[in-house]
Amino acid sequence: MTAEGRGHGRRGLTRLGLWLVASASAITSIGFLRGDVWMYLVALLALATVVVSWFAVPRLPHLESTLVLPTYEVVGEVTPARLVLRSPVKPSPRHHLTITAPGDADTVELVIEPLAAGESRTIDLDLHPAARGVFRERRTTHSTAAPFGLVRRTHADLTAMTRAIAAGIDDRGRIAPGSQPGDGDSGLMSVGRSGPDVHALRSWTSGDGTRIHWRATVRRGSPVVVDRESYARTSLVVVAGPAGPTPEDADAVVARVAGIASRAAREGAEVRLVSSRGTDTLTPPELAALLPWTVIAEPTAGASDAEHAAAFHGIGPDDRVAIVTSAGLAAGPWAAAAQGRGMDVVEVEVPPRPRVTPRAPAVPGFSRALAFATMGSLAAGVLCLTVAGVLGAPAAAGWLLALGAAAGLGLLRPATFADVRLRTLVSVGIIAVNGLLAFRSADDGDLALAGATAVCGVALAQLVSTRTRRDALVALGLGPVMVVAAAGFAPTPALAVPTVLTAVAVLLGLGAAARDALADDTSTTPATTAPARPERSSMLVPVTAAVLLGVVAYLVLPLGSAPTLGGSLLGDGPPPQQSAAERAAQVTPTYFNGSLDLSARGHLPETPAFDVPAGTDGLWRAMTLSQVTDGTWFSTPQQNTYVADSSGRITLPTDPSEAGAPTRAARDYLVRPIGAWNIIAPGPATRVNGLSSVAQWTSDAYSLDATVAPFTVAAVPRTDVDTLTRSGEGTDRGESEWVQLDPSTTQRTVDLARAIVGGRTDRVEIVRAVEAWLRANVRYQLDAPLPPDQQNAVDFLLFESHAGFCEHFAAAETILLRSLGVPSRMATGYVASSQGQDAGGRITIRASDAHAWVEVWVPGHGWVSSDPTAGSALADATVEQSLLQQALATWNRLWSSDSGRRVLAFGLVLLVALGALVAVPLRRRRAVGVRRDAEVRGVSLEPLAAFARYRAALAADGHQLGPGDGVLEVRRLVTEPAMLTALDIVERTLYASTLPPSHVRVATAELLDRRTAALTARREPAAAR
Amino acid sequence: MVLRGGRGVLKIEGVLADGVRDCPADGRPLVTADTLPQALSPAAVTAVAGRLVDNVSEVVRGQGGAVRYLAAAFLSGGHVLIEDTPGNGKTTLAHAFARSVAADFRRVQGAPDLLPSDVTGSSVWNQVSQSFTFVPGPVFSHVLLVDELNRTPPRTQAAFLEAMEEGTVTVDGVSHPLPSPFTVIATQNPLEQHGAYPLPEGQLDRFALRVTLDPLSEQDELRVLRDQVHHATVTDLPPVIDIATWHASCAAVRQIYVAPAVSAYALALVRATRRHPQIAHGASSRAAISFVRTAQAWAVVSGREYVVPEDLQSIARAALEHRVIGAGAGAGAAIDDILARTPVPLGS
Repeated sequence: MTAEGRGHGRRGLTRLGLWLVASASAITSIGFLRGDVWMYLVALLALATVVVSWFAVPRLPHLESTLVLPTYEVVGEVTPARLVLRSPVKPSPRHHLTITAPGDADTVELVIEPLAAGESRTIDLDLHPAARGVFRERRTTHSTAAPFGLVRRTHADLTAMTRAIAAGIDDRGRIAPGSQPGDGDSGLMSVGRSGPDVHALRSWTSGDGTRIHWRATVRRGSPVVVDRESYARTSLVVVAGPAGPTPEDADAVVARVAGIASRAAREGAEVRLVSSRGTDTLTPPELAALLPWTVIAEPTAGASDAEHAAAFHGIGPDDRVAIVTSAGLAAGPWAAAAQGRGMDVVEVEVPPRPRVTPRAPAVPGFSRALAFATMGSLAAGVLCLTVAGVLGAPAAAGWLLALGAAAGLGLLRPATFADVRLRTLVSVGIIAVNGLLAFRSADDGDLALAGATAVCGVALAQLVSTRTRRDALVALGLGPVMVVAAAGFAPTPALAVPTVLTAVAVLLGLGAAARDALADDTSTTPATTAPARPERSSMLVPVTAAVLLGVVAYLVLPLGSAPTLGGSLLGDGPPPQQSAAERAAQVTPTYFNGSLDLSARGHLPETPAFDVPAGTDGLWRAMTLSQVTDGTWFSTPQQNTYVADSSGRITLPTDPSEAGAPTRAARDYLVRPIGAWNIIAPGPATRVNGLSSVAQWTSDAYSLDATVAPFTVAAVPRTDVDTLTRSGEGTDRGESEWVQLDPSTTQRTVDLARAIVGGRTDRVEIVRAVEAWLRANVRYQLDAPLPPDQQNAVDFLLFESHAGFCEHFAAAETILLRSLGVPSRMATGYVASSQGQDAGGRITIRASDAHAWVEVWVPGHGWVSSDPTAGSALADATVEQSLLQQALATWNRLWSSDSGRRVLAFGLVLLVALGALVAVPLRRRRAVGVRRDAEVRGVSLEPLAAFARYRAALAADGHQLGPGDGVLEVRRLVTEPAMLTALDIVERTLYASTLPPSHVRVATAELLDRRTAALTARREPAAAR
Repeated sequence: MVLRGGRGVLKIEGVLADGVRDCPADGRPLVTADTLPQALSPAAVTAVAGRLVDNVSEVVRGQGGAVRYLAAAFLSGGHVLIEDTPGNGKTTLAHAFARSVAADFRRVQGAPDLLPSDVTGSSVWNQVSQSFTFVPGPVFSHVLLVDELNRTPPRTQAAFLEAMEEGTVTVDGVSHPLPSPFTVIATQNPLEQHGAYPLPEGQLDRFALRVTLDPLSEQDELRVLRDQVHHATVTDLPPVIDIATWHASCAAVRQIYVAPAVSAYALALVRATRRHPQIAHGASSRAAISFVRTAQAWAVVSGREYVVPEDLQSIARAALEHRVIGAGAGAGAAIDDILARTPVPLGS
């Protein structure tokens, strides 16, 4: 890498560092939030993507700048002062001349020799650092096929460079002070110093067999070559017309002829012109208008000898003739005719310029395909979600539909996809799709990984389709962001198809990159084609509207039943078939495990767990925990399976702990498991209908076994202790299991229990006293501090933190009761709240509704439930939850209800409408602002400087133009339609509220400069005479 | 294309003229308020100006320049003074413009015995209500044609001052607002000085433009002759725009973009009049404002949505000559000299 390259590298490293820090912190915070191991894997993946892409990008072809000299191949030995070019035999392929590093050498020789078929070589040449900058910029502007284009110069670089160039050039564009008149893009530029061999400097045109003057090149900002031929002895220049079919070709030849002729005239040659009409675009009258020489013929390829002779009518044998021909025209007959008349003939060849097809969107086909695929993924995602959600259509149909839509979109305006901002938009769209998918599934690590891979694929696809380093940075930056978003939202199998698509896109892109690296560049000569800008906003509105429509449709339309996993686009169907052991591992999260650790905090996501009948608010029991050791509550595990009998009924064994309780009639409850697999009931379950088998894992806890289906469970609802006043007559249960204390229970706990109860003797009163004390003295706080390792959890709660969540309350009550000899145990399950009731009259229980409470044996009533948490003082909401948690909770609530989703959709539409309202006037103001800004900064806009030169040339040409004569006066001197248009552009640039587009301004400036050159060239011979 | 009898937005000859509809009387599209969009586009105003010019040109032959000046003054809400020898069509031109707008049009014939109250109106004792009632004079109109302004005595000329500048008339201490827009088209005869009162400079300054008529070519004169003898005269001219359109056009004209460089150029021209050796007294700041405002209208009449220096050059004599007091040779020559010497802003 060159010194400058290293500079870029340093800046880049800083940026890389920033990206790393930003993505790492984002990932870490989300990781903490979710407490998910997969998050860390995904984070590693994201970091790896960033690092790998960073180091891969500079090594990909064409990221470094190249000066493209089409038509010629660099061959032979190259020294810092000598570079040999050969023209390939075939006009195609064209080759790159890579100039990466020539010292301070003033000139580099470019010697053009024919190249043998198949012979080619590319040579690295040391380049003046400033020239390197110039060529980089040029190359970027005119970049066509290279996938990475070139380094965009920073503003500071450009300013410095412009200043350096301006310092060496006077106001008429000539390079050195004291130089002779003559200027123009294709005309002559003379230099003050004239060495023994340096004759004149002029702009480099493609196919020039001549030497590049580096210093002048650097100052001028475009390649400048040294002419060493002298035309001093020539008395007549004969021009054969251009072979190229375009007006640009014609212009170039005219300019070239004008240059040669004017120099010949300056050197004392008598010049006349023989013109041709090689094409229809260049007519003799035009030439006659441009050049004050006699037009005597229109040589064509098939002209007869008589015509040739006629062409020389009036030219005496004393004249000497130089025949300038273009490649397409045979100079032979003309030379013969001239020689036949006794004239001296010199042949100078003007090769045709390489055919340049201005490609407005400078996007290679493969990059377009990539952008297309990326766009397709987005559109597909949104559309499929909508289609599958609404119709429940097969996945394939949705994808086909979406791909078709994307294809239409891509074909509509492929140019648009070249734009960085649009690609950014696409990326944001992908994030949005991820967001859409977010809460359609439970936490599923494998799928998160798949999603992350998909998003990485998209990022890579973007990376490969970029043309500048800035694009690459955008893609790089978006990569981790997208991965984080995907992982944070736990994406689903729906992202599998984008993964495949983007993987294909990456492969295609790599192939394209390799191909571009190996093959040639269909490039243009510098400074000939105006950079065509893709229209930025033309697609923005329809694409935004389409995406918005899709998202809103997704939000508003009912989702229908979730498809099964095989064809699922929503990815939240029933769980896959698993073995009992696997399921048991999943089924026993913190609250429903055989054990419950008070010094741990469970993860309570908002995912739905069950669906229970309306009117069953209250505690739904999953299991009880009786034994406690060092703050951990547990029950004796059991491993039984109960199978349904012929009528589909499973009768569960009677729980021995229920013995002695009064018998009451059981009720049936219809429960639909959604995201959990326990059997839950408002009391101890006695019978289950609708399942083929259930698994028992403690004496009173069961789970689904083989099938996941709605089931009816029969249970006797538990009585709440708050509904009782006194205990009744009946057996008491004094088993040690229910009065056992944690060995680490402190004495002050026991003392406290006695103090709370005082003289009460009735069990109900005792329980309610303890309950009331806890409610009054302990705050409910979900993020309450956890007890330190060495301290008893209940002691810590009662005497130090005074804050806890449900399991702390329940454990404290149980220990306090047990220390008074009251048989009690911890119960876990869910709280069903009528707030969760949906339109169908059922209550959705979510994982976050998990709860722990206490069951106490009351003689005459059996086990009754006591919930010390209910009614306890809530901690301050702002203390309880961070802003982010609150926001997430709000989001969850909105997302998971139909009305909430409608609110979201409405909000989205409102937001976009507001954005449009703000953006539209802003854009208008900016349009005006651009020109004001330009005026304030005193920036000389391109056509204006060119117009000033043209006006000066007209004035020098003898036209009376006073200070009070503006554009209109100049307009009166012009008849050519193109020039009239150009003057309109000048006028608009000067006075209108909006500036014409940049490429139009550049093209106008170029046209004006060409006419200026023609005017100057026409004047000079006259001056010489 | 014009839809007969239809209402709505139509296109006329490729130019989008918002809110143009048919006028059933003669098939001529009439721009009306009810089909008008909220804000007129510059193209629409150009179309309106085109209609105005075409309509007036039906009866005023061979005066293309003067007609365009008047159209510009109309659209910028300025007042116009038409100055020429008698019998050359001053009054016809003014009358044609007034007729072209479907607005309240009054005419005052200047005479030495014309009193201010004849113009502004006066309070009259109402026997029934036993109170004074203000009876508005001819000045309460949208278009006021003052024929031979310089034959009115100074008192009466002064009555026009407030009306033209403030848009109000004060009678017996009570201000009465004039209808808006309000345009005065005045004519004066510079030759016949017998029984004439030269207009004070202050009043001249209130005219945005002073227009003189071009001598007619023989062909045009013959047409005028034949038209007058055989065809409809100015009194038969149908209105082509209504007040709302006029109002909206004036509003649109004020939005025409004037680049800072162009404003600076306008000011440079005005300031140059104050320094020029052949001008005793230069143009005022009010002249500069009116100059640029009229140039905005001129740009629209020329079909542009921004002002170019040539707009200012085109109207410079009409807008400035009557506002300066010449010394020695004519002020017109001095203004031409200023135009030739002041550099046009060309951005570099």
